[in-house]
Order: sequence, then C-alpha cells, then structure tokens
Amino acid sequence: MSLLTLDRATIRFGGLVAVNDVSFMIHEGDLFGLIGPNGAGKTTCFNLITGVYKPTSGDVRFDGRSIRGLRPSAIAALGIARTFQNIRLFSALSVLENVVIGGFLRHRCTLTEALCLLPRSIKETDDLVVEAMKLIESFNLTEFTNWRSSDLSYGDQRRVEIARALATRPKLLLLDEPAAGMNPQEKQELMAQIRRLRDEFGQTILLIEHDMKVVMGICEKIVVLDHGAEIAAGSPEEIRCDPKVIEAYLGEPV
Amino acid sequence: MESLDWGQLPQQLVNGLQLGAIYALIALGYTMVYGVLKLINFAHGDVYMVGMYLAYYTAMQWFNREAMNPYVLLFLMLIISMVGCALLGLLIERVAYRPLRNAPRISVLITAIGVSLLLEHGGLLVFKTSPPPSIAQDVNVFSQTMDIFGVAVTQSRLVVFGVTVVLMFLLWYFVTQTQTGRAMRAVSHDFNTAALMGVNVSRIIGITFIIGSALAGAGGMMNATALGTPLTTFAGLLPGVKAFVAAVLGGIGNIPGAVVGGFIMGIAENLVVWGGLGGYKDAVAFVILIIILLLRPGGLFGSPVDKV
Amino acid sequence: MFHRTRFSGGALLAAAALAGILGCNPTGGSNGGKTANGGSEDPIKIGLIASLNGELKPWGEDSMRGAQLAVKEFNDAGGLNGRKVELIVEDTASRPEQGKTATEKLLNEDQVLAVLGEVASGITQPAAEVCQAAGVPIIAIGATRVDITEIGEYVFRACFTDNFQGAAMAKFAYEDLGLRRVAMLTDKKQPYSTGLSDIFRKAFESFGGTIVAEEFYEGGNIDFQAQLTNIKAKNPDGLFCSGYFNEVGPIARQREALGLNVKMVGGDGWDSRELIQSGGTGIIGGFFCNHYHNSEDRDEVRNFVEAFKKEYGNEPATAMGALGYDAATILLDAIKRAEKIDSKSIRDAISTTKDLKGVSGSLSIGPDRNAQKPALVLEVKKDDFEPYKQVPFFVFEG
Repeated sequence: MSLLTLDRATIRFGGLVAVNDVSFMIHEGDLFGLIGPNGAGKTTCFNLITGVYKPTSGDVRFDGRSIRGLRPSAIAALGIARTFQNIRLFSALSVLENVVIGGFLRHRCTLTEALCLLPRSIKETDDLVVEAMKLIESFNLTEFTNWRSSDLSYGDQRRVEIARALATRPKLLLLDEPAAGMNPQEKQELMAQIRRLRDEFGQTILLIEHDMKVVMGICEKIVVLDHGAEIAAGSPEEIRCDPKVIEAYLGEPV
Repeated sequence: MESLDWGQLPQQLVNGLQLGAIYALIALGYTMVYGVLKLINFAHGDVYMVGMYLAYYTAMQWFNREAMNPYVLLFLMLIISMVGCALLGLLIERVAYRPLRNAPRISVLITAIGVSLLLEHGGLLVFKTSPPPSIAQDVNVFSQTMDIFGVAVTQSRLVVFGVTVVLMFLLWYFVTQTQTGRAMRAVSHDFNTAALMGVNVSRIIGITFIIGSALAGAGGMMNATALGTPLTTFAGLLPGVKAFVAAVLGGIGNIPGAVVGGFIMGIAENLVVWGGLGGYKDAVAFVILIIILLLRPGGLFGSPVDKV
Repeated sequence: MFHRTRFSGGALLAAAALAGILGCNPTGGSNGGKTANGGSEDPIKIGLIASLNGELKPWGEDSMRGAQLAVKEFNDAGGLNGRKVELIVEDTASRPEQGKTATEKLLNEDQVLAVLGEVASGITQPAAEVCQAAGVPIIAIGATRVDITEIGEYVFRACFTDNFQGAAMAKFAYEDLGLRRVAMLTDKKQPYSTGLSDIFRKAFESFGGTIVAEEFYEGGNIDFQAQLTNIKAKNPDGLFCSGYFNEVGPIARQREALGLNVKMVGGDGWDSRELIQSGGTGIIGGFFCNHYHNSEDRDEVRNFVEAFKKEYGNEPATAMGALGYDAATILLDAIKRAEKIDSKSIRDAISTTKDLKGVSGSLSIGPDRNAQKPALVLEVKKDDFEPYKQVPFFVFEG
C-alpha cells in the first residue's frame, strides 16, 4: 500500500498554475526524489503535502486517508515532517531546544499540568530532552548542543533541521534541498546519512534536490517536474536518458 | 525649578522599582502576545482592570473577611484574580482573535480596540463604578512601613515586589525549561515552521493569553490592595498604556526586555517627580516612546531593523 | 461640585469643546425673554437638568429629588395664589453635549420660564450658554467653577464658588488648625483642582502662612509615593489636596505609609463616603469644605432631611440634595416676588434674593450672581463625615 499519494493535485495562484495535475505514489521505505529546474513547482508540492497550501483540485492521501485541507500541525501529527529550502530553524533557540520542539507532538500532559509545572510535565520534558540528545548525537552535533542555532555553519544548521524533523518521529520525511550550500565533503556525508536513515531505520524519505549528483546517487525513484507539470518518472537510469528531462535542463549534463 | 534634593534620590529609586515591578508584570502580557501573534492586545490593560475588580469583590463581597484569616484572604484574592483573568484572556482570544487568525492585521488591531472598549463600557453594567469602590485598608495586612537606611519601605510594597519577582522567575522557568515554554518561543520565532514541526499553535496561543492575563490579574490585585485605588472600568487604561510603552522600550516580543522596560518606566517616572516635574509624569511615558521609535525602533533588546 | 467629565475618552472631550463653541447661539438669537406660558390657570413650567445616568448619577439624582421636594412643598402650600408650579426634568447623562440638548428641549418644546441645574460645572456651562442666549434664567446647583456666572446676567448659582471655598479652607487651616507650613498636591488635569490650589495658595499666604511645596499628579494616577517623598523632605505641617476623592484616598494611605504626619485639608471634591474606604486610617482626621451636612444642628436641615426621608425612603446621600432644594427655593421665592410671570421678571427677582433661609445656610445672591453663604468644614471620622465648623461668608479678593 502506498504511504503518500498525490492524485492529480493542482494548485493555482491567480492565473499561475504552480502545480499542474501531478500524480505520484510513495511506498513505505522508498527513497524518492523530486527534481526539476528552478521554478518547476517542487517546493510548492511540499507545501501542498504539508498543508501550507490547499490544492485547488485533486487530492493528497496519506496513510490511507485524505489530508486535503488539514492544518499543518494536524498533518504533522499524522506523521509528515519536513526541512526547508531556506533554513528555518528557530534561530534564537539552542540546538537542543530546536530538536526538542520536534517532540511536541508526543507531549501528552494537560494544559493545567503544563501551566502549574506539575511533575508529569517536568518528567515528560526531561524524557524529550534525552531523546533529543540521542538524535543530536547521531548527527554528530553533540558539541553544539547548547549553541544558538544561528551560530552554526550552514551545513550543520541543515543537519539540525533534519534532526528536528526526525524528532517528530515521522512516517514520511520531506527534505527540501538538504545539500544546498554544502561543500562536496559535507554532501558525501549527508548522502551517507540519508541512506543510513532509510536502511537502518526504514525511514521513508521524499527529497527535493537541485544537485543531480546527490539525487542520482541516492534516490531509487524520481519524478521530474517542469513548469508545474510532471514530465517524467522512473529510476535514475530512465530519467538520465529521458529527452524531455534533458530538454528541461537545457543541455545540462544529466 | 528648585535645585535637586540628592538626599531623596535613594527613596525615589526605591519607589521607582516598586512601581516598575507592576508595569513589568503588565508589560509581559503585551510582549508575550505580540511574540506569538504579532498583535498589540489593546484589551490587556482592561484585563488588569478586571483583575482589580475581582480582588475587590473577593475581599469585600464574596467572602466574609471578618471571619477569615487575612493571609488566606489575600492568597484567595490573588488566585481568584489570576484565574479569573486567565479565563477572560482565553475567552477574548477564542471569541475575538481566533476567528481573525488569517485576517489582515489591521482588522485584528481594530478588533483589539473594540474588545478594550467593550470591557470598559460593558464593565459599567457589571461592576460597581459610581462612586468608585476600593478595597478596605484592613485587607492589606502588610501595611507597616519600615525604615531601611533612611528609606521608607512599606511592607506591602515589598510583598508586591517579592511576588512580582517570584512570578517572573516562574515565567522564566516555564518559558526556557519546559516543553510548552520552548514551543511558545518556537511559535513566537516562526509561527508556520512551528506548526509544521507538529506544534499545536492554537494551544500555544491560548496558553500565552492565559499566562499574560493571569500576570495582569496578579498586578491588578496587588495594586488595588496595596494602594487602595478607587476602581472604575477605565482604571486599566493608563497603566495599560505605560506597560505597553515599557514593552516597546524593551523590544516588543522580548520577555526580559519587558521586565527591564517596566523597571525603567517606573524609575523614570519617579525621577521626573524628583526633578520637580510631577505634573508631567504621565507625559514621560510618551516622550520615552517617541525617543525609542526615533532612535531604536526595535527597542533596547530588539533588533534595530526587523522588529516593529 | 464637579467640573469634570473624567473617565470619558477624548471623543467626549472633543464633543464638549464643540458644544462649548456651538452653544453660543443655539436658539437663533435672543428673543428678549419668554413670557408666561399659557393662561393664568395653567401651571408655571420650570425645568431641571440633572445627571440621572452616567458617572454623576448619585449626585444628579439627589439634586433632582431635592428640587422636586421643594416644588412639592410649594404646591402643597397653595402654590402661587393657587397656581401650581410644574417641574420638568431632563437627563444630561453626565455629559456636556447632552446637557446642551436637554436644555434646548426644555426651552423650545416645554417653554419653561427658568432652569435649575447642573451639579457639574462642565455640564452647566453649555446649558448656561443656551439659557443666556435665550434670555431664560438658570440657577446652577453644584457648579462651583468661578467663571460659570460670568457667562451672563441670566446665570446664577445656589452654591459657593471655588474662590470662596479655597479661601475659606485657607482661613480654617491657618486660624483653626494653626497650620503655617502647608504643602499642596494638585491634579494637573482638573481645572477645578488647579484653580482651587491657586486660590488656596494666595489666601493662605495672605494670612501669613507659607506654601512649602506644590506637587502635581494627574487624575487616574494611583501611585503618589514620588510626590509624597518630595513633600516629606520639605517638612510641612499640613497637606492641601485640591483634587477628587478618587485620588485623595490613595494619597492619604500612601502618606501614612511613608510616615508623613501632617493634617490633610481639601475641598468639596472629597465629598464621597468612598473616601473613607479608600483612604483608610490615613484620611481620618482630615478636613474638607462642603455645602452642608445631613447631621447639622439647624431646623432647616432637620426638616429637610426628615421630609426627604419621608418622600424617598432614605437620607440624601450627597450634598446635592440640599443644594437642589435650595436652588428650587431661590427660584420659587423669586417667582413669588416677580412683578410678572415671565423670564425677565423672574431673573430680576432672583438677583435681589436676600437672607433666604436655605438648607445649606442663609442665602443671598450677590452682585456677581453667586450665592453668598457660609461654608461647612467637615471632619473625616472612622465611619462618616462630621460637621466641624461653619466658616461665614467673606469676600476674598484673589
């Protein structure tokens, strides 16, 4: 059974059709890539899935139910977490605090307990901190735990964002250009990390990436968008040879 | 103008700290709500007014104060004012602001002014206003004055200061050390991202209103009891404005900034009187506001560019 | 008594200012005084404007009841040779602009020959301007602001002026309390308070005393520690608070807490039982000036309080009951003495009022159309105000 299905999803902003009739399916354990030239509608697709925008027509189904029109926090609660193309960490908060926020969904204490600082809310907070520390460790960020997140390097900030998304324990992780701004060395490490997430923890991942090397290197299935429309789908090898894709990228070596 | 009486300076500074503590308490509510919603909650000063009335009714009507331990009564007044105001704040958020979550900011701002007017004028129907009632002096068991190195300090003011500091500490603990508090800061930092990370933004906004309003209620209760203020439904107007200026002064949205801003306002007012310009005490608030907006629009602790 | 429209927003103040400007000629020019309304068998119509709603309601309601009582007694005693007087009441809702509208209604629709009211100077002013322009006499009930009767020859008042009460309290403070070094606390926002402080200062200094400090606040302030600290440093023996009880109460509490041991003295702005509540022990032993008190030991007061109680079930809660009664008494006396029953003749009769026995003391109308009457000094006790001393009328040339 598919985990995420886009069924003829379309979104219009006034006269502009940003995503036009796009359909694809992601199954559990997939490492799925969404590529396309600048302005192809990749990030808009993410926004459709996470509830930032509501599709004008078509449907988005997740885990067997339609999530069309749900609030972002409700969708997050169902198990979709994401990172952002432009890093959107809570920059004034520490690395630890950022990652801990991701655990909010599993925060079960009541309003009164939280407001009155009752033991359960304290205990829960402590548990979440322990979990967050583990995630931070797995991304080799331990030394930065108490740094303000804005003081970290670009690449490190990206990894904090991934850790924060993972803290929500998502069924589906959406990564929006995770390699942007990284040097080749960092990119290699990131690719290994993403692959390990899938291989060791069975994490389903949907990835947007501009860097072809990264996408071709780790994704097993790829959908290509251009001007909001789907122009190709298939394995990396199939995509590499697709003339429409080559044309879309205007002769860029694919 | 006469020359300054330097001997009175310590007393005036102490006076300023005591006054500033209350401004700080109210300013926290403005700044917290602005933090999460980017909304100036004009009704906040009126919530403070309701806190004063709740304290009055608790002490003077709902309970038989002759038959009660006065300390228990004071505690009860504080709790009832805080809880009552918290519920009022939550109600205001649900009824007036939540339906406008995606409306243009100006609509929300106008609604806030409307809520403020509603509380002030609607209060006339509910509360005793003419002649303005006040809390009897005997309710305040901390009425003695102590002499500390030549500075007269009334016990009740010391208690007010102490309670304020404790409440601020609890707030600091809540905001920095608990999961809900962290989520609140996350929402304040980036509303949309926090929602995408699974933070229930509506709940956090509700909690923000609850805490901010409860602090205003505590301020109202303590001021009404310690000073014997005659109550009208407009009693929150001026303190509300000054606390708002304190919040802007500290950098609106910034919690430590609101506290520092409150203290600066309190001390500035007392120094103005000390300097022989007592009649311009209230004008000081606005002079300070204008100067901040000219020199540092983001406030002392805000970033100079991107806020406001 | 009240000059204010406090608690009301800027819009209200703007409206009041507008009413003041527009109010100069509301009826399309003076018609030289109205003549007798109807035939000689119809009742003689007089009007009353009072704050029956809004923040001044307790005072306005008392003023109406006092006036109604006087008219009832007049009619019960046979009226004017069998002709009754009818009192038509209009509500001003504690608002100046409403006071103007109410007066215009009384003049234009009801064709009253004279008007009584208001309790507040701010509301009296537009009403008096309307009356002056129309040539209808008005007797203000509680408007103590000096310039009210300067509006014109048709404007009178049944109460003393701020000039007199300021001078009377200065005299009392100097002679009876033996104060020599007095500090003043003034509400900068209220012309009533600043005016009263000015006259107190002049009078007190003319008697030989010294004003050692004057500090200011603004109505609505609740913390007075800073001002009191300054005052304490000047080591005064008395504190004159010219503002309203709303602030005087907290001032008294905070004065005591600060260890500033001085006698407190003030004007009729103190007149509310709430002062005792909000002032606590700090206000006990303070003295203020008022028009009269229910417990005064005079026949006029006893009779009035008894009749009032019989009619309404309770004693008048404020001094405005007696002043309303006295204002009506002045008018009814003038109607009796007037050559003809028209506005002009009634006005002339009012201006010659002499030694009329009023509830608030012996009443004469002076050449400035103000009532010349004594002031009553009240002392604040634990549960109530008590009459302390009457200060006879005297002329103080500020």
